[in-house]
Amino acid sequence: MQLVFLIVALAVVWVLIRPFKRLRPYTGQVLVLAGVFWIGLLFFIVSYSFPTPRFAAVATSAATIPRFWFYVLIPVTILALIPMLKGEEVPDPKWGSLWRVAIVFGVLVASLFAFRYIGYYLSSAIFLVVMMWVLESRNRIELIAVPVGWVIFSHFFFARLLYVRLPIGTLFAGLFG
Amino acid sequence: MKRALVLLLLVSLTVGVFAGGQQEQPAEAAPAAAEGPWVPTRPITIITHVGPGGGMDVATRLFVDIAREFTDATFVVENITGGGTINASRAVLDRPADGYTIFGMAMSNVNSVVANEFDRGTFIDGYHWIAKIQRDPAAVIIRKSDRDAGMDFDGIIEDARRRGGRQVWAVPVLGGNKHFEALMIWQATGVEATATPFESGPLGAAAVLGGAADVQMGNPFNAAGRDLWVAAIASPERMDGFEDSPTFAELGFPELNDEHIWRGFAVKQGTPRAMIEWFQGIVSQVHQHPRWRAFNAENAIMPRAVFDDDFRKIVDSTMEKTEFWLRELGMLD
Amino acid sequence: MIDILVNLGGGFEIMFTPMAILLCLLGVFAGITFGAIPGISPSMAVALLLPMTFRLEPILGMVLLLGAYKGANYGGSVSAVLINTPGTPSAAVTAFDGYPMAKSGRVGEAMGVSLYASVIGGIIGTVVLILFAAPLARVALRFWPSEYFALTVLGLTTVATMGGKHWQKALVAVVFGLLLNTVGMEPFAGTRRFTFGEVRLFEGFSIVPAIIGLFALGELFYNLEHYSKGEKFDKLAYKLPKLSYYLTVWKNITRAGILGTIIGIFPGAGGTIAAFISYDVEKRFSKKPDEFGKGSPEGVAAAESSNSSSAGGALVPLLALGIPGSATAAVLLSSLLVHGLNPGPEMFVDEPELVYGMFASMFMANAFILVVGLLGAQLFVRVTDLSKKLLYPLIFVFAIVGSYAVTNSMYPVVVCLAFGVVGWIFRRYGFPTAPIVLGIVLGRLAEMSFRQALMIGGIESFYQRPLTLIMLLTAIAAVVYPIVKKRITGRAAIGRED
Repeated sequence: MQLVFLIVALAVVWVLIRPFKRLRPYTGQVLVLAGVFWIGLLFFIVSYSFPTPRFAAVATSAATIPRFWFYVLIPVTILALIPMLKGEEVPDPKWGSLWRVAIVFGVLVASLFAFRYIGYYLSSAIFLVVMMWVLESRNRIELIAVPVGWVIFSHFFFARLLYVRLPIGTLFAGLFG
Repeated sequence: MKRALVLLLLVSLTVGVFAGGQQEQPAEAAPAAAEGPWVPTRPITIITHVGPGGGMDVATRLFVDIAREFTDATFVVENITGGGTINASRAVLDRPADGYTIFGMAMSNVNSVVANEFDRGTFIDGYHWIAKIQRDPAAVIIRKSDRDAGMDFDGIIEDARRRGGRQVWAVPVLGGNKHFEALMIWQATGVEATATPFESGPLGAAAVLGGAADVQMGNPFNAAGRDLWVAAIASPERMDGFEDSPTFAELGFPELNDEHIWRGFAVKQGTPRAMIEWFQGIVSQVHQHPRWRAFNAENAIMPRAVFDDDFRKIVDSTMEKTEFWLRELGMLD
Repeated sequence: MIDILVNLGGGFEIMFTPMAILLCLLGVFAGITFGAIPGISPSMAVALLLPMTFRLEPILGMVLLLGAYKGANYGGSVSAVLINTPGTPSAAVTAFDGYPMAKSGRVGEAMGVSLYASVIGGIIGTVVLILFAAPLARVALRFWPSEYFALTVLGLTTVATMGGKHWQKALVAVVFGLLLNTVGMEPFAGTRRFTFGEVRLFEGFSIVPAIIGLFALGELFYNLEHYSKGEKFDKLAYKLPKLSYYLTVWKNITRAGILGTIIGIFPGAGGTIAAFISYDVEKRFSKKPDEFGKGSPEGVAAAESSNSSSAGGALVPLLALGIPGSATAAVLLSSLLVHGLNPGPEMFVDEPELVYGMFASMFMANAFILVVGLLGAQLFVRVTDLSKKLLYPLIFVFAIVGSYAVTNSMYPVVVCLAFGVVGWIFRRYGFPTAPIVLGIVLGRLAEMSFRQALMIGGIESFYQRPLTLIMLLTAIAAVVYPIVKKRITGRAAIGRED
């Protein structure tokens, strides 16, 4: 939910800075600043809902420090904007192959979701194969050996030696249970 | 053909790994033997909410080490910290009630359920309270140098009165047990002071040693081995190793004499009765063990073996007390 | 002095038994291996070996744990240098320069510097511990909350030199980190802040997954965006440099080692702050400050040496006062407690063999780190030889499983991924990510000490206590001095032009 607000806030900032030609090469950087500032502002506002306990002689409350950092954030954001307004900042970089990032991110998120169902081992193996494919690996031996090797390694090293309770997944729990 | 064979081999290997991994997961509920003693066939995990080195962690590790004399069962201690002790509790409740997961918990866990308004139906009633194993008495701690200069419990109270609330008492966290204990002492003696959180017992001791705080509200253990002295202790009689420390009753405050934090074990509701009895048997045996007695004596902790409903009653009174003080402090709606 | 040597001799006598040597080597080996895995912190590495020590004699148990502690501290730097994935929070600083060095082909050099700096720093920390444990512990006690606050301010000023030309962006990043640090249960009274009803946010953003995300995943996402097939690191120089090479950074190692020990003695401050401050100091002292952050051996030396020596510092309050200064020290303490040993001033008198045996084992552990590190480095450097189409996917799965291992749950994995995206975006738009780490590391201590100080002594605490005042003035000078210096040299340059 808070993420949606963040996106809306960023969209509003984006629309707002369109008319300023000077800032145009810095759109991305301005949006980063806006995002950070939005989080600070959100924390500042939410801090007013904190309970105030009745402690004797306490000069500060849970809200003091987040508010303080927000007060610091205001001048700091302005400072960071100045070189952009002056046009002295390095312009935003061009976009690279964004699709690669998008696919990897998507597959990563999907494989994390899949932990619960098909377990850590299978989903990380699938993730490895997809990711290697995206990185244009076409060698079949690699595509099979790396995931299998990883599964064996992570089982013995993490699960057996380090007692990490890697998720088995409902599918396999059902199969072997 | 060859390729297919390799593939088949790999698949079977992978499946083998899954199956292997499966064995260590407590997914299958062990068929509870209706009669006869419970015999563990796999390692039993004791989950605790404190990190390695914390009070319950040390107690649990020593407990299971001693328990090896009485059973062939293997115990594994797992530390799941964070979430205001709830991460650990949740992990226990997420695992099956087959007796292979035990919650090694302390009073702060019950405090947290009340303070954070978690569902008591889940996080309190969801447990069968197997055994309380330790009673760690409340202690008022000051510097040895102050004692040598003539300071004692009455002196502390007098000083607090004189300084009108500026005397600093080190507690781990505001709104926690040690803070409550301090509040009770102030209420009983009719003084005001400032409770300042120093995160942990040892850091609180350091604050008193360095002079940042005047008094530590802690456990006798915090004073052991340091240049600190226990000025008052909540105990029926003076404790070994702390013979020069008077009890609250001696000082004229019998109502404070039972203040302590407890530690104990619980399992998820629905755990086979035979397992509970088996584990209580081990608690009784460890309770009597000289090593357990010696460890507790050194740290001025009283070993206990309080089971089932009697333990649950202690839990209920903890909840009551926590709720009362949190309301007093305005920390609970 | 003679006493110390005699006792130390006794300590070495204990150490030169086959069992002690074996346990020390085992500890170091396990420590380096675990420490190199992102997500397995030194305290976890030590905790994993803890059960083994219950059945050993106390001194042998400590030999094993201390070996693992020191080994894990070094191990953290291995993955930081090779794949920009710090195995431990303090190794994040090692990654600042270690990874750029590796990327530009100087991988052997980077590994060598980090290894030798770690070993020498460790020895400095041990020597200081042996000679000054008791007096240093008394000093540590004299540190009140106002001094801790001043220390965090001093730590925060290091951000001033962190951003280089983009110092404004570094400031934004550090405040961002400080803001994120306020998420979760507040340290004073456990008030829930910005958790939005999500129980998992109660503990806030833990530092280890956040660092893995910011550094490793951020870098990976960035590289994916600019990926071209078959790309490799620049031509690699695997070979570790000759011994004489390390003489060029001996000053950095020594200074950072001493500074690291001193900062390490303050309970709760620890190795990460030590590494940040030492790095900053070395950058200011350096003749080539521009190289810092782009692959400076001096930077790697400073970070590793102070990080490693702070491990010795952290044992000062533990042994002399029984106060664990770090999570790892808490585990060491529990091993002693289970044996009925209560560290404190009395232990030095009652159990000199134990105490000096521990000191001796720390020297031995350093020697083993050198041996295992030298052998291992030949192997580890080959990681960078992997083609990126294999290396990148493997870093991803390592980051994921490493984060998962932090609490055996999915939450840190999600944190890691979220910080990965933040790291990528920050990196794209020229915002440095290291200050975020600084903010997250220092935020809690800053808040705690600031509020404690106000509670104990009011606002006066910050100017009436001399030590606080000196530290705060140093912090101001650290920020103002470079600006003034630049102005003056700028004017001088203009004057010459006239």
